[in-house]
Amino acid sequence: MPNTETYNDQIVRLFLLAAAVWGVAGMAIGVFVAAQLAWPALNFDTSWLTFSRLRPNHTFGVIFAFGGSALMGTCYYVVQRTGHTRLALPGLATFTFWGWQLVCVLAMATMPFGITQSKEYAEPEWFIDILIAAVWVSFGAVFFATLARRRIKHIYVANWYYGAFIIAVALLHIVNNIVIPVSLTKSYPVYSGTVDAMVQWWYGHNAVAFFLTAGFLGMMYYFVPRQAQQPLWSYRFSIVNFWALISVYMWAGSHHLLYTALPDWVQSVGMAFSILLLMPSWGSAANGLFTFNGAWQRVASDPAAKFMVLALVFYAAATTEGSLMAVKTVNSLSHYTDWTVAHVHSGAIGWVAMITIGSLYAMAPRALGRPAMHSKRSMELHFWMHTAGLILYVAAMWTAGVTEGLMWRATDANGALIHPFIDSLIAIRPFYLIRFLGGLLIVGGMIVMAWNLWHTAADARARLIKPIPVPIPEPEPLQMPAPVPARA
Amino acid sequence: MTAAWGQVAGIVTVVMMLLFVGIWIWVWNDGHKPKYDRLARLPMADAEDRP
Repeated sequence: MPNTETYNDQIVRLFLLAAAVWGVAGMAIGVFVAAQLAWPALNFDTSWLTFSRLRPNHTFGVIFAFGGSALMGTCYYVVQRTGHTRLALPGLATFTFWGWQLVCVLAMATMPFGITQSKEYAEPEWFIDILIAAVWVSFGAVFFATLARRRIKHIYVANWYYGAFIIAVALLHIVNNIVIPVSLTKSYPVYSGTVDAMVQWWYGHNAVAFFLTAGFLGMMYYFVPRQAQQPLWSYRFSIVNFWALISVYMWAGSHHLLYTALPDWVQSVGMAFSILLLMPSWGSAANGLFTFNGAWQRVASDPAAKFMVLALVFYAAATTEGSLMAVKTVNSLSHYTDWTVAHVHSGAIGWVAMITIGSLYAMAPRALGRPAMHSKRSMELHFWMHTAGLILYVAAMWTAGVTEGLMWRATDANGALIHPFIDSLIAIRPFYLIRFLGGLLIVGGMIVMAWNLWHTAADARARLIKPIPVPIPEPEPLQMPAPVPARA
Repeated sequence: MTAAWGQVAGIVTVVMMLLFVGIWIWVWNDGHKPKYDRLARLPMADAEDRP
């Protein structure tokens, strides 16, 4: 059969560019709001520059704009490579890119002006939510249509995770954003009271589960064996971990509402399922790390592999910490303190950002028609800046969180609180300064990556690169569905 | 929670546990090993066929 089909890497390149731009922007806003906590005068007495208005721009910018663009780009790359087929529905795929960028711009342009649903990680108002749903359904259509025309009979496990990520995020987004609009910029949720809180944290926790975990595990299951140049340590273990992860994660959301008006048994269910989550979390982390067995010399010389290894270590660490924090007695110390901030950033900067950066460095040369990244030294510099920033950040916030927790619960012999609240703020201020420095290093590293990607993309900008042909394998006997013939 | 609902929840929990054990047994079936070994190497092909 003549080999006339090529991979659609144009859409991958667009998402790669978007991920680099949003990564720098989202993290820079994070550094600015961190500076505001250390020096409150930086809000300049301007409503749209206050911490409360800009903080959602940071979270939306890094999770949905940076992480979302990286996930969609790598997903389109991986589904083509693991199916030996070209991306289906190219027009719709292009719509997903421009639609998603419009979502991110609209969300980040409205939230600082108070146009918000005030639901964590679901701040954008109803008109943006409708656009998100339209883009997401289109993303699912492109992904599943591409899977349907694959030439490899079995669906590679990375696609299982990407598929679960797409389906679950659609479900979560639509259910959590059922509202009654009263104007273009204001709506009210159909849920109220405790039910509203539970729906929100069912969404919020599973945004972590299916956006920040399942999606990035899809990335990990493809790019770790590819970068290690070693087969996945245990393919069947990856399948067991997949089913364990998707069946357990959905029930853990109530651990965000411990010691609230939520019925006590629902809180206990959330706590129990959070402990169970250790199994698939450690399972995937171990599977990724063991894949490097026999290839550790590659890790020493390859910054992309370094990012991946540290990402897996932080995935195991952050999920262990999360299960621990879901235990009621631990939560009574950690909740509402900066320990929570340390936990989420050890997951976000350690796991999510590092697996993303490692995967982007692995994918970019291939998608940009180059044998390697423009500068390996700057990759190395990025790795050490990111790692140093991460350690400064989480160590500072862990210390601040435990300090707050201990000071807030300290009582004298009569049961009266020992410390006024302001004392705890004064005690943690040095850690806010350290966190700011950590953030500066991290965003500095992202700028180094953007510079490196820009130079690696020189041939792509000059339109000199040739599309990569799809390897057409011999059909397997009784392959279902039958492979689609190569297109001219 | 009513008693009937509790019975349903209990039965569903047991069924889900059995299903999970079943998936484990099915996946560890030796018949799948050649296919899984082939699949475990699939990501490496992208770098191997580099021009």
